[in-house]
Amino acid sequence: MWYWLAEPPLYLCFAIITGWLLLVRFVPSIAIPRKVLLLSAIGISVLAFFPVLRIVMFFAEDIGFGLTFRNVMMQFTEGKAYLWTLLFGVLLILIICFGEPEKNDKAWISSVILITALMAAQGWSSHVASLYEWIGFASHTLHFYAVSVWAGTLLVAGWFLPSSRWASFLSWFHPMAILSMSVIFASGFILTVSVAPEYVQSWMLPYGQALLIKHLLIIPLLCFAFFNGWWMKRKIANDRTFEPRGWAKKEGALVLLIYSVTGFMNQQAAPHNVSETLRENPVSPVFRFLHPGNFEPDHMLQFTIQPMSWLFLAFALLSLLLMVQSFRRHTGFGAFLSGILFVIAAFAAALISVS
Amino acid sequence: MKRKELIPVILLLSIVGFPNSVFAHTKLTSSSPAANEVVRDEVSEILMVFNTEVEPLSSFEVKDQDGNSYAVSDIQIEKEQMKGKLKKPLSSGSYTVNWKIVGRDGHPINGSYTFNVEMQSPTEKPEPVPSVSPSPATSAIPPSASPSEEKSASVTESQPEKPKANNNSWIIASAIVAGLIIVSIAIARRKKS
Repeated sequence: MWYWLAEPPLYLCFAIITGWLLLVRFVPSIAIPRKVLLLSAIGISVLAFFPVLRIVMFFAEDIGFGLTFRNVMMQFTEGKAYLWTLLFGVLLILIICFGEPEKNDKAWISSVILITALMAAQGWSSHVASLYEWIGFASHTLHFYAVSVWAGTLLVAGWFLPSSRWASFLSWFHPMAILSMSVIFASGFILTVSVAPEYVQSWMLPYGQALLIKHLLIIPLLCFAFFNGWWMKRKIANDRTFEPRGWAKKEGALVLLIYSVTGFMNQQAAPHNVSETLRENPVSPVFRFLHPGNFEPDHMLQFTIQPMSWLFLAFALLSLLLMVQSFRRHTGFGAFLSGILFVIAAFAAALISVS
Repeated sequence: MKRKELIPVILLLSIVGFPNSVFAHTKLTSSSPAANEVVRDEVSEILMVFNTEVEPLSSFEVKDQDGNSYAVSDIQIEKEQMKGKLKKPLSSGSYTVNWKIVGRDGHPINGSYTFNVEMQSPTEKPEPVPSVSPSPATSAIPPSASPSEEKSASVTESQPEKPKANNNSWIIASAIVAGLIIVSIAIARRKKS
């Protein structure tokens, strides 16, 4: 269903607000259009409603829209979480409008608390929290928080921080990024083993494939992060005319891709138990495309390396080589595209190698 | 640096802190009558237990093999349980329960299962049971209409040969090659300028 399309922009809104709150403290001179901030705060309040709408529409045909709506808002975890989101969201909008968090310490702290509470509301209604209670809630919220801190700062800086300020920006962003990444990996690991314990098996389902794509996307992202971290520091020091923002924007674009995959994934049936999930959900079309024929719900996937697997693995390696080459030749477009090609090739290699 | 020492600590915590019990995807864990059960008695109430807390508004419907609905009243939801009463007890026949729930995580899920009723005395009720005749022995096998819950491994024919990568993967391969060529050209052109 199309409801997942609201998720990527929702994550983006969270990232922009978080990144702005951080940058405003560390780089006071940064100018971010108020419009962007307001739109993001409004975006959080509006876009977070779509999962609720999905439930309402699911039941509306039975007992009507109005009654369903009231019930979902008052009694469902998803509905209750949204009411909190709306409350915090409106407060955040008011603070951004009238509080001037850039200058006013109290307004800034309130905004930080509000965005934290908004992320907690997201974690509360998450899939993993329903299965693992507090540890699911904590890992989901932490994951989301760390991603927003890291990607939000990167995105906001990529678009609004003048190139002349990048050297000082990197000096504090770099360690923060490493710390955030550690948190993202640790919490992401918990989320993966909790939701998809049968990792390879889940490749028959859209959820498992999306998770695989997401994990593969992290590799080009890390390449970008590595180059944008270490390599760029030296570049900026040696070359005054160097433009770091384009590179940060491409790294940001990869983050947006990961957001999209995550948003799609979050609305799929989660593969805690693949064969049971397969009884109620069909094998994914992508899997069928590569493996024509019927698969039983109980079918166990096994690795059988085929000639085609080697071909795609070779493509994947070639893509990574071209990516490094693109960095050395300052071809941002090439680096981005070869990153994507790597993901496609590695994904195909993985899916072809199981049957 | 302190920060570097933090990484293994976080990793370790993540492994230790992870609960080892593995739950299943939101689904029906048990029901009464159970899936594929042959009931010898009147059925006037249906109870389902799921592996997650069920949100209010979740519901189910009961249909016979011809698609006639049987009115369900008084659906009650309590934590993982959902139960409802049938206005009239079911007489002999094959019935499908279609359930529609939202779990605690907010994911809407549909599902269905089948059970059979075979009353001892056939003169029990003048229900709107169709004249297909309550076939005595064969009705123990549920109709293939809802394969979602039944153990189909033994019934359906399985793939005799392993499906292998077919020509479709060449489409992806060509796309990747095209992309790699574009990147190479982009790099090569950059070199000259």
